[in-house]
Amino acid sequence: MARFNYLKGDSFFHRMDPTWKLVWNFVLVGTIILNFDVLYAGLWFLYILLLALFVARIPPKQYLRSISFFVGIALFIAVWHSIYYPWGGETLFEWGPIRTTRDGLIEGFAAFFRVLVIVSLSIIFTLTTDPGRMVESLIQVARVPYRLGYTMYATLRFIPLYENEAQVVLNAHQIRGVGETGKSLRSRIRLTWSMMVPLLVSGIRRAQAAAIAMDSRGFGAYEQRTILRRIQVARADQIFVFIHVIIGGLAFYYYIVLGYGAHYIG
Amino acid sequence: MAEPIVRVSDLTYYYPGDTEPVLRDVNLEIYPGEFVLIIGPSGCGKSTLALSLNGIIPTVFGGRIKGRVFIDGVDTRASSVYALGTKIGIVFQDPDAQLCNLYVEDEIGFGPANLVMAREEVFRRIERSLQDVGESAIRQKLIYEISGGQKQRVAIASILAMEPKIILFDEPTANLDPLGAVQIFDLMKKLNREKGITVIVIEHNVDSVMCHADRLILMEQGTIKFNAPPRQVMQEQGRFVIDTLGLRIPQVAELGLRMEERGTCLAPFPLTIAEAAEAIAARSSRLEFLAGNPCPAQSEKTPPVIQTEQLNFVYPDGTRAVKDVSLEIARGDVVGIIGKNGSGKTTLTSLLIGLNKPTSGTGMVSGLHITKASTRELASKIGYVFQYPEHQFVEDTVYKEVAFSLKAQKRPPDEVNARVAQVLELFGLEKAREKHPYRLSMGQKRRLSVATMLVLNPEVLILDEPTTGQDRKNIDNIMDIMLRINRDGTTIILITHDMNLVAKYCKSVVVMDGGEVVFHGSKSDLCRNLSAIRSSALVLPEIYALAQTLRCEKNYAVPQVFTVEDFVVAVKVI
Repeated sequence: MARFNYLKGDSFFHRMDPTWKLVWNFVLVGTIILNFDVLYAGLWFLYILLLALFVARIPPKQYLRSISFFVGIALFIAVWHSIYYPWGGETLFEWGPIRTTRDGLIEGFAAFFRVLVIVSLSIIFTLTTDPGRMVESLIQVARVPYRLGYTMYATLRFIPLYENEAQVVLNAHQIRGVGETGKSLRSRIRLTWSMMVPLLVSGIRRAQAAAIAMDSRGFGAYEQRTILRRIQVARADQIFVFIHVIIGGLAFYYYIVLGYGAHYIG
Repeated sequence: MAEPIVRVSDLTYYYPGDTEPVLRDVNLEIYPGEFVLIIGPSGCGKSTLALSLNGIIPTVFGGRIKGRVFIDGVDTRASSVYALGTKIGIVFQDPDAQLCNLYVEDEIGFGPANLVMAREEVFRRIERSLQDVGESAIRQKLIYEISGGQKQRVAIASILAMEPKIILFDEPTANLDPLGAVQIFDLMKKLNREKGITVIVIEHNVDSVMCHADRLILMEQGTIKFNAPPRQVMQEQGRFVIDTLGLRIPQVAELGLRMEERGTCLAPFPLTIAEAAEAIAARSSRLEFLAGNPCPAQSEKTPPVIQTEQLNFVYPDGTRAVKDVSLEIARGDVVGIIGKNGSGKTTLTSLLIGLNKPTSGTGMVSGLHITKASTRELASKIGYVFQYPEHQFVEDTVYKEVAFSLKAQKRPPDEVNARVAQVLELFGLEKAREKHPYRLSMGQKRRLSVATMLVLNPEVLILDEPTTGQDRKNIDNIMDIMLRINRDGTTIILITHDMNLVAKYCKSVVVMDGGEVVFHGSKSDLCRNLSAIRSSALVLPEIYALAQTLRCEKNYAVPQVFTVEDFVVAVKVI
């Protein structure tokens, strides 16, 4: 069912300030996409996997469920990379126009790990971050204007209602016998549309009602609003992010500036 | 007399793009500390008037406006919506749509925080507002964890936190169970009396609120038709309100009118059960109660059309929504399924029509096993009318909408045409046959949603909250059709909060609580044993309670009655 919903829990990542966690995510994604070395990508993957399982304490089952879909995509990208590797090397396998070389295969593995690292980072983020806290942190720590922040907030608040209503409409249409009139693409599109209409109509109605209720209580009256729970970013969060910035910077220097392991970029 | 706190003068308003005004020359004055009830048919402009009091109209909506509205001496057009927010607050119908935060605490602090009050002040207001509505315990909870009644009280607290002088309630109880509604009305009265807040209420469901009101305003087609104390409006115009406008009035007031027509004035004209009992006692020398039970005796045992054994259903998240339900529903019955929100009524019926498969247990619906038959097979035997008609619409004209299921069953075109024409006529929708379903009126939508189910000649028809948002006229209209098809043998199941509906139309009643059936029997057994039945959501119909009061406190031989009609039949004027 839920691949990417917030899981209540207590861990370093659960306690970490969401904005800093987001920065940490971006730093690592940057570090990983700038490099094509297989050992480098593999080590990062191992490190993130350990963080996910032992620091974020994501249950292994949940982790597998979240990542399973992306393993397929990563494999696909890996195979693609290894087949279309243009720089030659020792041929391992050849079938008609398809040729796989040793270097190509290594390249494929690197791509595989890179995808998994990025997905695992997202899994750590979404599974350990309370969406409500994230919006609060974006407003207070990242200084996102509160009107924009509240738009996200309202979306979060209404998602369960929409899910609920979509289920009711689906049931209602099932009883009407929708989906039995034809299997052609055209009738399917029409039926999907017929389900969309009630959801859109009630969505617009609800959004308008919410907007009126918010306006009536002075929403948007001033540039700032009183902050009820002041967020204190823990020193540990910042140190954690800085350590990764330094590692990423060193890696960048070693691989890109000095040119190791990036033989075809330069 | 003091200065009016609300003054509306010659207000005319057109929504953007409309050529007909929604409000025409409305003049209204409300004084500090008043409790005012506004009623009127759907589309009469009540809600528009509400929004024009706090400046949303025209500041946010635009449109054309003539005339002036003054709130506490301030012209709404010269003021901002947020400045008006500290003078007048509105509590809306749908608690889910008006709460926009994740936590109760944030929701109540929302308004003060928007007005950049100091943190300590915001927290002080959160605490006090929650105390005022009696919900201090849920301060740290998530909004989606709390019940509908609690949500509505949080909505009221969030308005109280703005410390307004006026609170306007726009159909605040439409989504609540009967007891939840009574609690909200009592809270209004308390705020009015203890804190001196001016209260304005717009309501359909007036039974337990009219007695609190100092003044009743009746709107029709954008104008104020009557504006007087409720007792006076009811006594003088009650017939017009019921017959011409098709609105609900308190049952005891309706009784007062009926007695008057039969030559006995109840004085003072009753608005509450206690008043009616006193007035009848005062007239007792001229009244004689006929013994015997005017409601028809329980008909002989008929074979069940629905039979379940030990049904259980557990949602994937672990909620046990239906527990060990063994139920028999007789063919030709009209059954009311009642219970508070979340008691498992809708889940139970979803099992009967195969939308969910029971976790354990079995059941038969007119010869089909609910565990084995598909939703399609079951749907050919049972019709299911959803609470919101729009959820069921799949076509773009009324005609196609009704024909849809017949066509899906590949019936010959001649038969489809004939059957659709017949059903459209039954529901009075012939003239609307080429209209888009979404463009129909509330009442027409409701009738169309029932028509789409009835066209298949189901053996059982389930209606989920058929009275939500409907005027009395529309309800009577639908229920008359239901009674007609019931006489032809269709079993009717009503899932409802509306105890008056149950009392008037149902032959038997099922009460659910916490997923279990805690009562199944006749409605007289239900009313007699109400206090013993484990369910906290039920409130006796006024007229039943009146008869009970007369029996128990005044020792009159009043028989058991469920409708005003029953009462009038049972009493003889000498």
